[in-house]
Amino acid sequence: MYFLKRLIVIVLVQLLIFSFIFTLFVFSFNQRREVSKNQSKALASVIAEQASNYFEENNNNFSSKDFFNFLDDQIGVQKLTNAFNVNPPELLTVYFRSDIMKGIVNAGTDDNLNKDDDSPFNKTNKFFFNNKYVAIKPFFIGTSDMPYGVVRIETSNIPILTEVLYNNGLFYMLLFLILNNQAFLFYLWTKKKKSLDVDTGYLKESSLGSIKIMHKLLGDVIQDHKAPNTKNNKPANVLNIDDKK
Amino acid sequence: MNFFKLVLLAAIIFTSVSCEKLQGKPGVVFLGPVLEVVGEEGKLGYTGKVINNSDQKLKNVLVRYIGKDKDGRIIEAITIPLIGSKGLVILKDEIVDFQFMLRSETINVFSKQLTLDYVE
Repeated sequence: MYFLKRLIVIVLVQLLIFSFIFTLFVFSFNQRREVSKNQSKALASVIAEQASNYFEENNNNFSSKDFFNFLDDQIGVQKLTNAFNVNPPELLTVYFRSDIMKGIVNAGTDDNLNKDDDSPFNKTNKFFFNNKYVAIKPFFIGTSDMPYGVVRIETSNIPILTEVLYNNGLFYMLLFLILNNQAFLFYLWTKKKKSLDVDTGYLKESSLGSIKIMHKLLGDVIQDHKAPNTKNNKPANVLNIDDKK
Repeated sequence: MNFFKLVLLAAIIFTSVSCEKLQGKPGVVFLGPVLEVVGEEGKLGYTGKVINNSDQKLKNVLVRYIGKDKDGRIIEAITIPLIGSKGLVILKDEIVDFQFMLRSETINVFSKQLTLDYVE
């Protein structure tokens, strides 16, 4: 029972330390994820602007390869990825309003072609959290009020997770060791010292035997001093080292 | 003695546990995002570029695509071999274009996964 109690206390302390480190990790992760979200939104805006330019000129003669090369010429695919050094978007999607309205494709948008946060197309739950961020930006051609289509960019949050671990892993390990050290020091600080009380049986059973022997020896020595004439009457349990010479 | 054991254990942990495994090694990667559009037949089409940023030439580079429905079942899987200037061998720093189109109905494709596979 004593050891079980101690084990429970140790486990609770470790859980406390882990939860503290996990809070720090989540804080760092969220900070980094917000940066990624802003990057995705900015990129979606840039692509939407380029899509407007492209489809104004090539409305009837659209080719995905042409559009991709157009983006490469205007922005440069290398630049697209440089902005996202950790989690570059895997897919850059362009959906036309006509396809969305006909029900050919689900873009994860509402009726006004704005992002629908509740749409299951904009979520992928894995590792207990939504590990996908979707930025959607409608684009227009000419002076039309209705969007011609939407640009949709998906980024994964998993690379951010590994990057935060990669950058802060050593720090978390050191923090774990230091907090364990502090917990141990706190235990030593609060540990009660045993009171020196003879009446409550402070002396151990084994100590009593040696004290009895010492008491007997001292008694014999005192007896010898009291009777100096009985020099040759040595007690049986006293060894005179002069006899060995 | 226990203190030295503890120090030794900490030293082993610090030297053996490395977070570098979390960082990907150089190889063949997508150059920029892959463009996804709905084609004239209402099917999803993909256009993209791949670059070999490793120090050596790579062969049998494959683009693998897996499309799943809303229940997580695979409804289409495509493997596209990439052909560079020297055939199936992609040279160092070489950029290769690829393009393919799905056969499945677009509305059924719920999640997509694009990966690259190669032999060094």
